[in-house]
This record gives sequence, structure tokens and C-alpha cells, in this order.
Amino acid sequence: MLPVVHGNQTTSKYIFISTIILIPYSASLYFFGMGILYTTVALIAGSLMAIYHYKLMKNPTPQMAWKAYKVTAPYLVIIFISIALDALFYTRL
Amino acid sequence: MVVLVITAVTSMLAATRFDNSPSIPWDISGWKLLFLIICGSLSSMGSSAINMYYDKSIDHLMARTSKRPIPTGRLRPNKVLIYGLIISVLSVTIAWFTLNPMATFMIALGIFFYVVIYTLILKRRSVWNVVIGGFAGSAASMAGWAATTGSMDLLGFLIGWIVFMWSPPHFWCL
Repeated sequence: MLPVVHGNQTTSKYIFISTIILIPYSASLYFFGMGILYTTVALIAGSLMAIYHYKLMKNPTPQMAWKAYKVTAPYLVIIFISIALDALFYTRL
Repeated sequence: MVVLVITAVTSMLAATRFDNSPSIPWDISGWKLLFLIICGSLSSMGSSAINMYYDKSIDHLMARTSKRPIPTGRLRPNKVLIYGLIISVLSVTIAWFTLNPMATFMIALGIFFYVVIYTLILKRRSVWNVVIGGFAGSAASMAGWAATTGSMDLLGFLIGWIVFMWSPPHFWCL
């Protein structure tokens, strides 16, 4: 609905902003007991997704949006696999 | 659906480190894992079917949703609704008998959020629909966590909340 009501330009800005908020949130779980493995993956995967969403903000076309969409699903899978692996290889600084 | 089941299973594995019993990472019952996958899949399928029934009059208007079973005429709307309701109730019932009360509650909460909060209330009225509705996805991860611990603690909630935070950038791209 958001792209229909507010347009692609505004939506792509919201997408980028929400990704920028997601990165520190996901990394902050370190302070609640998560380990180094998860935190490192969260920072790297979040940053890679942010690059795609930055590109989308600069070029808010349906083709670019589809590419950005295809990045977000693997992001979540990678994050949650790292959450499971973190339990197995738990280390903290 | 596959992504949500992955969040549930990985959360279930992660929670083993925080379980009160002697903590052995990834030490879970294979049966419990199987039933979590079954219940997670059924709840996702059931709530999607109810969503498709409710949107039967508008799904043909958008290219992506116009290929769904109801707009293409492959299934009658009433059959989809009955299927959705049965599958949803089945997922909660199986969870009650095979997992634990908290995991069952999270699965039911996920269905409720997707069907009632997202589909019936927000989807056609608010641009914040996918933001608030994103909690339905969080519930899958929380169900997985609760399947191991039998309860919901702060870290389990915060891990599930990642799905909530991820939903807007994911669904707004569509």
C-alpha cells in the first residue's frame, strides 16, 4: 500500500531508513547475551542489505525494488542461521 | 512460509543454550522439531488461505496476486476459507498436544495477528499494515524459542522482534 499512497521515492527512503534502524538493533542483541559470531554476521549482512536499499533509494524503479526484495529474504535466513550457530560456537569478547 | 519455519527452527536451536536444564547446545527432541515444522507450516498455510479468501474481490487487480487460486478460478472461495480455518485450527491443536502451552500460544498469536490485525483490520486502511502486521512473523520465531524453553524471556522476544523490524524493508519492496 505504501508505494501506491506515497510513491516509489518516499517508499524507497522508508525502506532505507528502516534498514539503517535494523542494523544497530540486530547488533544490540550482543548486550543481551548473543555472541560474537551472530553479532558479526548481523553487522555484515545488515550492511550488505543497506547497500542494496541505498541503491534502491537512488534509483527507485520496480526492477531495482525487486532486486532489493530478493536480498531481504536471504538476509533473514542468514541472520537466523547465525543465531542458531551462535549457540553452538558461543564466544564473547 | 519457508523463511518463517527457518526462523522458528533456528530459534528453537538457539534457545537450547538458555534452557534451564543442563545446557547442551542443539540438544533437542527430533519429534519436537518435526512437530514445530508441521505446526509452523500449517499455521502459515492456514492464515494465508484465510487472507486469500478475504481478498477474493481485490486479488485480481494486482499482477502478483492475480495468479492466486481464487482469482484464476482454480478454487472456489468457500473451499479456500474452510481449508484455511481447518488448517489453522489443526496447527494450534497439534501444537497443544506435541509442544507446550507457550509455543501453542505463540502459534495462535501469529495466526491472530496475520488474519485479524493485518488482513481484516489494517491491510486496506493503513500504510502501517506491514509494520504492525510484521509481528505475525515474529511469533514464528518466538514459538520456536518457547518450544525449547517452555516460556518467553527477554532474549527470545528480542530475537523474534528482528522479524518485526525486518518486515517493512522486505514487504515495502513489493
